[in-house]
Amino acid sequence: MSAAPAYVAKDYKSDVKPVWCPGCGDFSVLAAFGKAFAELGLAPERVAVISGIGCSSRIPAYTRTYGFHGVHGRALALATGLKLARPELTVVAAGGDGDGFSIGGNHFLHACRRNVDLTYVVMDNRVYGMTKGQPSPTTEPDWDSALSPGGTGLRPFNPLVIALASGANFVARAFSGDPNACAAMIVAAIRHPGFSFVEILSPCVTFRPDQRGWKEQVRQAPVAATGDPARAARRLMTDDGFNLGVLYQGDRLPYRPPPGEGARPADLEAEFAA
Amino acid sequence: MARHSISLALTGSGGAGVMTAGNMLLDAAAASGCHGLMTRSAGPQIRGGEAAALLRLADFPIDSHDDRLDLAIAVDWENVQRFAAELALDKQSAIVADPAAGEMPAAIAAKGARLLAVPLKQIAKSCNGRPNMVALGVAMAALGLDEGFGLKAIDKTLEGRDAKTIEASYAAFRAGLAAGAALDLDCRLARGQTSHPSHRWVSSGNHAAGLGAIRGGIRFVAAYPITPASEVLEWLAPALRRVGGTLVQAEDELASINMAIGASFGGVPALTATSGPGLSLMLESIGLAVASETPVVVIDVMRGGPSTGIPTKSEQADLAIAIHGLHGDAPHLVVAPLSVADCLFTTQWAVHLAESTQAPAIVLSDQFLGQARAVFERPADIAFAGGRRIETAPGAGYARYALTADGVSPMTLPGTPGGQYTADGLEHDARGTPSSRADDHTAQMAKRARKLDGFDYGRHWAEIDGEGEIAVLSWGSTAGAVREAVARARAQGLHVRLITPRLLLPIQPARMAAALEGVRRVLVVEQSEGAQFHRYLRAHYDLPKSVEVMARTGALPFRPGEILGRIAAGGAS
Amino acid sequence: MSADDAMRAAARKLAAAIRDAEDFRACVFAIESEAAERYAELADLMATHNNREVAALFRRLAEIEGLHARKMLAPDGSAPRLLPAGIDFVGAETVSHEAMHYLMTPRQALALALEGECKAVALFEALAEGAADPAIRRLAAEMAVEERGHVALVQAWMTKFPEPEADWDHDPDPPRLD
Repeated sequence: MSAAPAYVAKDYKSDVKPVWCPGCGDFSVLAAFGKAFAELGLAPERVAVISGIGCSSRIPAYTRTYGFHGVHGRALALATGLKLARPELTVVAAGGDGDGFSIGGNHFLHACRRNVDLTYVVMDNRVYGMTKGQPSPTTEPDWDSALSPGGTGLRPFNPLVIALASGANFVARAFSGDPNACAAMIVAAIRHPGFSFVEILSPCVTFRPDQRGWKEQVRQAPVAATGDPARAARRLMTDDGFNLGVLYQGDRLPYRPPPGEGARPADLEAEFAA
Repeated sequence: MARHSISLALTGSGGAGVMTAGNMLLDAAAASGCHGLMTRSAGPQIRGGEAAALLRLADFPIDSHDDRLDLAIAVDWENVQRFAAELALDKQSAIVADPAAGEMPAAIAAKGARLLAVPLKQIAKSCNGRPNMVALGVAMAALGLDEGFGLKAIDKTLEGRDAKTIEASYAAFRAGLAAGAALDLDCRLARGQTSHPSHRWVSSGNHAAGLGAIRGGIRFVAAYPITPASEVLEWLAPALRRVGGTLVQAEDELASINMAIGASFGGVPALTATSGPGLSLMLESIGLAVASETPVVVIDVMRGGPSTGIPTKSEQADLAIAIHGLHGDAPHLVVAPLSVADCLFTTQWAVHLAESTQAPAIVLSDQFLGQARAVFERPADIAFAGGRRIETAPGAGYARYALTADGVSPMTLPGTPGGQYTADGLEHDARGTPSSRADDHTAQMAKRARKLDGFDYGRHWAEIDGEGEIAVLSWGSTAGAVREAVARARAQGLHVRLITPRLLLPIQPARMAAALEGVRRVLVVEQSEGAQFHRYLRAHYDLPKSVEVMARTGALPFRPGEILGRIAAGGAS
Repeated sequence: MSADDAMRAAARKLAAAIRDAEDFRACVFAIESEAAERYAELADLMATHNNREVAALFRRLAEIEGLHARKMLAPDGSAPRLLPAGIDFVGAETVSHEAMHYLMTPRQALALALEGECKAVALFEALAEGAADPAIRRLAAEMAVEERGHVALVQAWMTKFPEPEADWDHDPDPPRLD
């Protein structure tokens, strides 16, 4: 007989009604957040969900945890500041592919290399939904749109490659169509020390109705997670973007500010004396 | 005859060590009970560039350079013409130069100063020392400062070095003293209002701002390196560690400001420091701090603009962006220190204001204040009452952005059960739920304005001094030269009022009207070619009919004499 | 992995984890409760997107699933004991968010509900065959019968609504711009 769980998924849901389109993958990610937090037994007030701008970045308001819905692209910076100031909190940054990889790309690189104990969930739908369907860094080069007629012709950004190369300590991919697997992945990411990155393929049914077909394309990666970055990199070379699972789990120590030395502000004055 | 203020320059290039000698001279003067100020002019090179240490020592408090130099000591002349304009030498000045350094450049010679030859390098070589220590000795002798303070300054600078090096420095310094004593220099410093040196501090404005931040309660700093703000951060890095705080070097200014906001959301008072280019990048997120009502302090150590501009020179031309740079109607705080020493107070005050009003505060320091080293009385300990209003036991109906009478809503911190909310840059209702409703927008806008407009800023809002129908209005570092000009004008029998606001936003119309009561003529002095301060005053305050403006770039700091000239000229008409 | 394969895999896991009738009751309670919560969410979602007809339908389905869940309560109204750790049964009868469309018709909504009921039938049938304990097999068989009843009900319900028109998802207005 297991002990009574302290929390259930519903405890993390706010009474704010999502404005996401029906059919959006983000609903499942929201559900997965609740399940994951419950599984971890986290008190809602000890969790902060931090986001930038975009459809998926609306997620903090839909949770009953603390939250910050900041400006476009800066979720990781907000989350880093909060986690360093309040290390005892569980801090999860969340957002979309445009927010995280385009306008926030620099923060993504440096969050990976800084390796603060955060979890970053990117709901990747390969499109800017909130601004009405423009190509994002992860969009296929031939996807036709009003802003890039005939496609961008640009090679898509590969988030897992960048995360691995930049030093993320946990790199994984999940699919919103399998909320239980998403929840399990988020649990693993939060448990893993350091910077954990989870790309969740989360279809945009409004601007990318073709993504309804993702559920037939995704598959569990045939291999287990590795702690060897070189092996993980080789796997990514043959990855088509639809392999699910944990790719890499490193053992790098998370960044923590050094402890204080117990001085008072007045103790700092000596060096000013003439 | 001893004089109340002596100004001198030490010039030299690549490895001559004139900045070190200048700092030692300032330390020695401070230890002997004098007031002082030192700034630098330097070429763009990272190492080995031409440099000049510009010092003013006095027996009364000073916040600006004087009108002219009494003495220049040139270890060499390399490229000194690049800042010839900043060396205010005249026929009454003396130049001590090493004949081995060659011909005096024409730009310097044209000033007509008296040239005295001292073989600095040869003297240094004879005692295995360095020419800058000889120059230090010459300067100390000229000023009439005691040898012992010079030796102490050497000890402090060379702490940890081997005995041989220290002995050689002693010897070179003493040889310089002897050489200086033999010169006919009228640079002896009087001892008037000297106080006990134990009450004296020597600091740059950047370091003072760092201490002010910590006194105010700042325990988290995130920043990106930038001239001339980096010293704030470099001072804070070890200092924060000592008191249990954290400093993070961020990947860019966009990250800095957001990390600070994130930390402050967590309840830890937070700050970032930057200069104009960085402030430009931060503006969007400062607006986020406004909308989400997250306290945060941003120090902008202003430099010459626009764009990359002149990183090593001062200017007061970020006023407009600090006040108007945020998109939307975004009430926030802008304050400016009025002297090097005031960088401490004003930064501490900014922390208090930001925390109390849950709003971002921009501190407009500048390169002059930030990088000048000055001697000043130890600033008093001030404990402001109030601070961040925190809800520790939120009830069932807790609303983060509740519409309170004074506009300040108690905030919960993460970890507080039942206080969960989402801080948002989107407009929201009282609970923080995103809302595009007209009534929510109207109510939240009014609340954010009310909490700043209704706050009692007290007497700290400005430094106001004197009576009379003439008023000089200035702000920031320029206030130093203005203060001295006004003192001189009064010594000449003129009645002049000095009005230097420390609080630039929110505006204080009633207080300014009271300060200007009875004033018929205003002189505005500022280091902005576009007269940003003048425009600001015009936009927000009722000025008398007669307004004159002294506005120019920061390339050449204002001197008290030229401001006095304008005061006196107008007063006579 | 096909949906049926997934359900058989879930049933195998359940069969291994369920120790007694009380565990079984707890599982059914959780399955039905989750389905009810999801229907309530979907009702809210459709209401947010001003599809009142489908919102009302989902609200009704939420009530029905809630009734099913409550049937698992003890006579004193207390919830069944907690599930054995590690059971990943969730979603057995739950309609997926991904299947939603803001212009969907009641018939389409009921088709999804039908899918959910069919999944439940498959799960309990698999359990009725695969569980080691004969008592559990019997309970599962009973549940399969009940769920088949639900399937028939939903199918009957569907006939009250017409098939969607060919351009049911046509919206002349573009999506919002902010």
